[in-house]
Amino acid sequence: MRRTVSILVLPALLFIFIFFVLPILFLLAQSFLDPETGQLTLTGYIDFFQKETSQIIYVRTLRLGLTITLINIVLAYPASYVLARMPARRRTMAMSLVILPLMTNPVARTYAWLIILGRTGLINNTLLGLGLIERPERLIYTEGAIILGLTQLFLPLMILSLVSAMENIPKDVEQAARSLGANGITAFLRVIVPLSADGLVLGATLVFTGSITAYVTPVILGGNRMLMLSTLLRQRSMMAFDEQGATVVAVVMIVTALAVNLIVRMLRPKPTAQR
Amino acid sequence: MNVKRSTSLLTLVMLLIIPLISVQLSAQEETRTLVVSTFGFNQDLIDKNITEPFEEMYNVDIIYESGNNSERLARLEAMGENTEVDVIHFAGAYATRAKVLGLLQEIDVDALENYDELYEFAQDPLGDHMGIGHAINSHALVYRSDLIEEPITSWADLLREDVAGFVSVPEMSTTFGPANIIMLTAAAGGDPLDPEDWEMGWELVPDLADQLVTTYTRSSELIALYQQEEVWFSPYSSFARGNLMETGVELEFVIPEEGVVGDPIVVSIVNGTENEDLALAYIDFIISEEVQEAEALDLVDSPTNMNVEVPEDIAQLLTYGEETIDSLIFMDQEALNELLDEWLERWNEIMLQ
Amino acid sequence: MKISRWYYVSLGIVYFFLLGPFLIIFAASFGAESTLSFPPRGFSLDWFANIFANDNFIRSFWTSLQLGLLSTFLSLLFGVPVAYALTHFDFKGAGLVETLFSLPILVPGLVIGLAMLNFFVLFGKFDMMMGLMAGHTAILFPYSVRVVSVALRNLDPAVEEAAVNLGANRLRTFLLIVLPNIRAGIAAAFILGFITSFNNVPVSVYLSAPGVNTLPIAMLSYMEYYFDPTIAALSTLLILFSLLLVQAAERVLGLSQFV
Repeated sequence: MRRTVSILVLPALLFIFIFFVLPILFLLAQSFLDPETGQLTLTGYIDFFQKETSQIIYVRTLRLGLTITLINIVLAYPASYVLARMPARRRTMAMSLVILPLMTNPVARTYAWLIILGRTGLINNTLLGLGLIERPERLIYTEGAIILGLTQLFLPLMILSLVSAMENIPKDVEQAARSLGANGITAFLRVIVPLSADGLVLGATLVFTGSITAYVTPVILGGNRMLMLSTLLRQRSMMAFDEQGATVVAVVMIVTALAVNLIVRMLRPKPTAQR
Repeated sequence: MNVKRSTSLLTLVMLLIIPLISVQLSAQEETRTLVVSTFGFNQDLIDKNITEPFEEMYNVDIIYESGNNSERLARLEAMGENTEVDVIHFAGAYATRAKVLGLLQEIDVDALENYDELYEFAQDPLGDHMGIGHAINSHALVYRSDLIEEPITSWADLLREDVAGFVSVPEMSTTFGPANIIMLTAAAGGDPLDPEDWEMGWELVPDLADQLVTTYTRSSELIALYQQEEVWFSPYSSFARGNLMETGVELEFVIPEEGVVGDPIVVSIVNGTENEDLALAYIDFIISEEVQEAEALDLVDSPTNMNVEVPEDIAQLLTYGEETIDSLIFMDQEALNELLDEWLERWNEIMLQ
Repeated sequence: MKISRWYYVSLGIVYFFLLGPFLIIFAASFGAESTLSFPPRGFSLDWFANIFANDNFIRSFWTSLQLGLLSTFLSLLFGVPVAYALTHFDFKGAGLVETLFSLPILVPGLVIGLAMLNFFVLFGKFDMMMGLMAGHTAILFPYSVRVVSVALRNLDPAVEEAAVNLGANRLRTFLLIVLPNIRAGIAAAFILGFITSFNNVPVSVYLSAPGVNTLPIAMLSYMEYYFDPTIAALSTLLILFSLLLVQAAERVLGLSQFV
């Protein structure tokens, strides 16, 4: 058996080791090496955490990630409930529309928001037409624009996680709650939410880590002034000629993303029998 | 999913993949290729004026890598000896940086037939014959004359209250980023060419930051910003003038009282190229009177070949003529190169506030 | 049991938010003016013609297509055996292997791209297309391994046992019995992998070279030059392409259960 397993797994292991693990380890090493002398050093990290610019960007990235996750939860919960209760055939159709943003070219998807938010875009023209504003407002290159763009991108992930958790909730549990006198909202909060907590945690983790590492949306909707970690990384490596600085940002990004996953995994309640 | 349909799906996929692999393998080189790294701006006109005639004349294929200065320099540096690039176009600051990094090689100017027709500043802008100035670019001001009532006349007007929130300037990491500081120095009454005075310019940067919509990293981005009506007033690079005029918005181009910054666009040969002969032929071709005139007439580049003559209406849109060229302020790229890291850091800190 | 109408309202809001922007892109791509404004003025098909007149779009489209097909194929070629091992054998380190093959989804794409560029240049001249292929194959592993594993787990073990009992060896059983039965899963993994590669920006943005450029990267650089509705027109085509693909896949395979 051991030989069979080796034959099956080794080629792929070798591939992923050479083309994924080694480059990442090399990058990790680079972040600790002085680019001039080759000596071990922590200056890259000290610089990153001491500089006000990177502090602001790091905090902004985490804050936006959190905001987007919360908005996603609020938007996705009731909608997922309807989807989970749909008959299978209709749900298939409905879900295929939900996942469309995930499957769409990211530039195309984000471009839509430029048309909506630009100075000659939908929102400004509507507000001007209604006489609510006198001159167009700047809506792109703002945190709000990034939040909108990333919410559209990650809402499908949240919904998918929630729907698959809710599918497993037996209908009679809820009926029982109602027959005991709970009204709709109470039943939802007391019964549906706790029973779908697994999906919630999974979805929130996906959305949060996705948001803090996303690239295209902050590039297009955040511009050069509203930097996030990802756009800072790109700027460090491609515009500022700061190879070590770039690798430090990269490592901070990986560690943050992995830490969130790890913490969630540790805190997560024991999986319910059904999952 | 029924078996038949899925089998045909898999077959289809296979049929698609196999020819793709064989195409990959059979792509042998027949004619020689020259890899040119350039800005990618006005590429259709460049193809007409340069790529097509050159390819035909020398039986080569030109492959372009396009991108802004810093991206291409970063890539050239990252790839080191593995780069495929033979010839590279940079703005002055980046050409200087590439030279300092040892990425360029000396150009055998004796092999260039058209060399003597160049203005003096274009013959050896980097020193040691590491580059040739094939175009001249200048940096002045432009604004929406329909939206800004009081005319713009000075670099100091970037700080005017009535334009707050509608200004854009080039990002520090770009060619004319340092020019922000230098011309603000002039606006504050300092000498733009004296490094001792540059602090005067820096003192105005926090005020400038409050005026900005966003910074721009490419002229093309600036054009988009004007089209979107995000920006009303900004410095601009002269090579983008034609495209700015095509935006359809009402623009006024200004030569500010403190003067205009000049910057040669430099073409260099990448160190270790295997195609030095073609590279030299390419450089000689693009500094020839004929090509420079075609590029000037299409408003792609302002010529550095002294023999180029263009009609008055075109001349006005270019950085053209001995008188204009004599009045340009050329930045001390070597000194700025030393300062750049510090300036970038300082700039970012102010911009993020 | 009856669901309160408010839930439906919230579903409506979600759809509006997810799909509304796409409708706006469709409309904007037919505008006659060269600036991007909404509502669009006039009607024109010029922007669609513009796409096909642009060499860079056409070339990068073929690059992306080729890259997507080949790297998905490679990730399945390597990934299916892993999924088989994970579902059929209880071996030491199985958990580690599973984690390892899900890592590329947890590590930010931009980091992978930068790491690969820095790593590849250590070894002298390399073909950037090969670099792209290696990068994309690596990021597709999580999809191919996981999706195929799900399909294998759903397969009734009795089918396989029957074949083994009849004297077929493992390889024969796999090729003749297992593979045909998990076709839907493999097709789903293929579509998912292809879409992921075809749409990837963060990895590809570092792995470009003269003449090697993927479609999304070409779109991003076009946007830096021009602000006309060409990108809207191209986006329209790409969105319709995704819509068709997703609809077909969802109907036939139930793609959303694998995402």
